[in-house]
Amino acid sequence: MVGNPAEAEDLTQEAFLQLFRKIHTFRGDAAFSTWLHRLSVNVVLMRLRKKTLPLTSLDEPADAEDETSGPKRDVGAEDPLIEGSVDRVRLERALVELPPGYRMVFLLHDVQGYEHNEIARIMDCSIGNSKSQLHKARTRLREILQDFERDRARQQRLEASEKTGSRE
Amino acid sequence: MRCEEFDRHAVEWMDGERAPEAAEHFQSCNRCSSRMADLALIASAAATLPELDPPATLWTSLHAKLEAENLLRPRKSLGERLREFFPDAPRTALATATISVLAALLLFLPQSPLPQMSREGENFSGARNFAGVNDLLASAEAEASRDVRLRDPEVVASYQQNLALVDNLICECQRRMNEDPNDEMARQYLVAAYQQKTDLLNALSERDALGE
Repeated sequence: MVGNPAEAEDLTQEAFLQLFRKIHTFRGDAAFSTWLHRLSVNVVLMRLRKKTLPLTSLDEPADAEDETSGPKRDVGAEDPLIEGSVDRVRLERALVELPPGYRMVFLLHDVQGYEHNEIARIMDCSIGNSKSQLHKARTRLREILQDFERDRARQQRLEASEKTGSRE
Repeated sequence: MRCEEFDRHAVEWMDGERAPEAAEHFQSCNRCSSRMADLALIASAAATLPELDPPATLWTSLHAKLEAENLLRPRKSLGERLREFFPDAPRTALATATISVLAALLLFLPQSPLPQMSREGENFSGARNFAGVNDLLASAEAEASRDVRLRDPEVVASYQQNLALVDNLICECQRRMNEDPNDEMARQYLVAAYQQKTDLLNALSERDALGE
């Protein structure tokens, strides 16, 4: 979520501290796991706010203009294929570049396997927003992975030209 | 349908809700079909990402912080928990008997090295001491069980259930000590079990004193 093991440990500890501090406020309205997840999500979001990272509001309409995604690409522009480039390392690198709000929904749904109705309760948003955020997260990840692919192709070209130059 | 319109259906498409006009576009548009394939690929790759466990040191550090904030309650003994279950009350004659048991435990079960059993299998003094504790507890139990029918059935059920648990523990410890008189762990558990039984009988007597 934070792309930094030390910070992740710190946040895990903070989440458990909050659990002990706030356990008396658990009323049993939702499943304990949902309550705990929500508490953990809040701990992470609070930290990210303090770091003034750009956050994606989950209250925005599902079809709102996406301000946090990468550079706009024209429909019909060339899309490098990402097939074969989606390995674990690249996906984890790409996740770090994802805006935190998107990352949260993506991790909850695609990595941890939560359903949209559960994510809606955890993130305090509508099911439609959860679906929309997930789609935007995947789309943004695709763009990031495409950028990686472009960089890799550029690097290969550069290395090839350097080799050619050294031979001449 | 144009690509921009298909994009508006993309969320539903990925969710498996596929409108006929979107499906038609999907079949004929290479850009949109490869895009949806990429998104599906990302979703399936994400499912293989491992969930990481925090290091063990994190729990040690967390424990220290919880203690520093006074958020951890000290672990309670079975006797303390039973006393919480049964309301506080003045002690009765039975309490006196159980105090005798405690005194016997203190007198007969010092922390000194274990008495050795002779090769001929003679009873060692510790076993005789345990027998004395057993006698005291048996008389305390008989007194506690005397008017059991006059009590609340729920209390009686709880008492009998807990008593059975403690008696089982005592039997198991005694069996292990008979097998190996030098089994220090069995000895410690046996002393703890006697203590628990004493607490249990005491808690019941305190409840009787309240007339509950």
